[in-house]
Amino acid sequence: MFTNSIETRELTKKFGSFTAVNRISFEVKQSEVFGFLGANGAGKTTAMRMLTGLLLPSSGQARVAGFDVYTQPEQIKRSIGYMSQKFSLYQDLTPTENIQFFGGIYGLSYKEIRRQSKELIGKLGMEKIAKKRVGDLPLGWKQRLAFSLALLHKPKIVFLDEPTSGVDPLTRRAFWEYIHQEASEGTTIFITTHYMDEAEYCHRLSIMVAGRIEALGKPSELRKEFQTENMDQLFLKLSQKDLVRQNAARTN
Amino acid sequence: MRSILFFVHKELLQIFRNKAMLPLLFVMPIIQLLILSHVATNEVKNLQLGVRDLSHGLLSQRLINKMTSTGYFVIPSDKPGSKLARAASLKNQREIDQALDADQVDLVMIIPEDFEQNLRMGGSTEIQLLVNAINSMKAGVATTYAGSIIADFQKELREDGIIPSKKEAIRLAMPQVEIRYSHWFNPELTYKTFMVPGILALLVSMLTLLLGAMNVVREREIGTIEQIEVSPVKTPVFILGKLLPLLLIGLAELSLGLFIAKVLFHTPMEGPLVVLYVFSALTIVALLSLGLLISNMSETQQQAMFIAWFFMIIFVLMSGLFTPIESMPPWAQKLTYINPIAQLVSIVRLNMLKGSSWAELWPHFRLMLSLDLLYGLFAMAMFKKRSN
Repeated sequence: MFTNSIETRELTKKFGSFTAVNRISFEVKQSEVFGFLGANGAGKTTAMRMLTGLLLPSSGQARVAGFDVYTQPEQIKRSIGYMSQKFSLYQDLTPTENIQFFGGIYGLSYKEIRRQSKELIGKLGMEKIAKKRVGDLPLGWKQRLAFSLALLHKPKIVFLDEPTSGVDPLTRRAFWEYIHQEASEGTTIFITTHYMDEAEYCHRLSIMVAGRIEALGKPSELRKEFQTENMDQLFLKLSQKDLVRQNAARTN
Repeated sequence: MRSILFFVHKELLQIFRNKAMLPLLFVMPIIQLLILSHVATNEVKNLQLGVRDLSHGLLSQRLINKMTSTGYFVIPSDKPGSKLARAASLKNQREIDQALDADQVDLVMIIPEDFEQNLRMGGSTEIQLLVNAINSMKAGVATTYAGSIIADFQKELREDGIIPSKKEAIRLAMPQVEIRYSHWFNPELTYKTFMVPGILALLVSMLTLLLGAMNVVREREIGTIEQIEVSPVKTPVFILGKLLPLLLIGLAELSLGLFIAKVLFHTPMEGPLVVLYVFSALTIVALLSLGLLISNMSETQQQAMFIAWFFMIIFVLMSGLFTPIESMPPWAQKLTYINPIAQLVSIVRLNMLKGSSWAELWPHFRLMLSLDLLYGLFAMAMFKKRSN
């Protein structure tokens, strides 16, 4: 019986002698907005690739939407949505054509695609630009469209890889509202971000440093635990701890 | 399987929305056929002939006129309009050396002082030919032409009775074998008839290999490939979804090329077109698989382009389009078995000029099917490997 959307136990990925992800364990509950934080190169992307069925772990266990990452990657892919920082839409196609294609490859019926595409275009207020190429749209629109496309096949979990990078603060705020809206309807959100202020919007979060999870919990709990005023400071504190450790390792 | 349709639709939309694509698809074949079919020929004309005539006689002048009147040789002249000037155009050995060094002449003919005298006396004489062999093929053709013109000249002299009858009697007494040619499948030996089908094959091959090579890597550069990778789409569906639309475009290109060949060049189309289409489709699949393989191994479109060109140059130069495969060294001839372009060039020629059909071409079909399998499976394996 699985009540958790994502569960990992000692999940590890090694590339040769380099350990990119070092025995991480955490759970994400259904309908939760879970922030997955860490500096560049901390192992976030590798962890995410394992959870989305793109990369096999070296050791440890992980279940996503109740499916095993080793044996059931196909079922996982069917149950998740994914949106990357590149807003990976086809720039030379219109929003409608993008909806059609992604709906089609997830096995939606033509009828369903037509219905969804009409509904989506209406919901996003894109009637006027539905015939324009995505490449010509402002970044904010692209971002919302990409998010909607990730949700098109009604996934149980959505993975968002730095979905707000390069977007202005106002649009970012609005985007977090959509995220919470979606979570309140039962979708689990797994999100990575660079912006520490955004960490406060998460129900719970983890911070990865050099392949390990160094902090895990609610934002308020973490602030208390590490005695910092905000996430920025917390993040710096963890990174410095890592630097000290690295230097110690070098002098030894 | 249904997802393939969505891929095909998407790819076609993207290809036709690309502004550079339509001119490429429609202008390229016309230009290539129009220009290449005229220039890609082994026929050598306007060879520059230098002459040193020491004989200064009627017969030597007649020989020189005969050489230039064929159209194969011209005598370069520093004074325009005096092409048929007195033939002592090169005065001494130094001038001959200079003319050859400076690439002003392809061939120098030296007629000896006693040329006319010897001929009229019924004796033998020698003409010296100095050939500029920088381009060995051209040199070979030049000597062959000159040889046959001189032989013809000799025959004329006998018929005119200039060579004494004693000699003539001997000639008549000797049995002579005269060779008469009958050129099958291209009776007038027109180069265009030979080249147009080959260029057509080249055109279709180049386009599809490049389109294939640029395709997947483009999605990687833009990042859309990630979005496909996290979806439940399976590798064969993805590869087929990429392959089919490009195959359609390749066949459309072939049709356009055939149309131009028919209308502008009156190229014969002896064989059943369906054979041509099926074989072309198989070739395109092999080239596209190779293209996708290249695309998959590249990080950027630029990289893919360079690798694709590497294969393209080798495939094209070893395709038998410009030089006959039979004159390549044995190891190189074996390489043409894995060269789809070589196969297509020869099949297009066999089918269009000779009228070959299923039965004669079956070994080629079998070979191309194995190439499809080889390249296709390889492309799929590499794609799987990369996404893991």
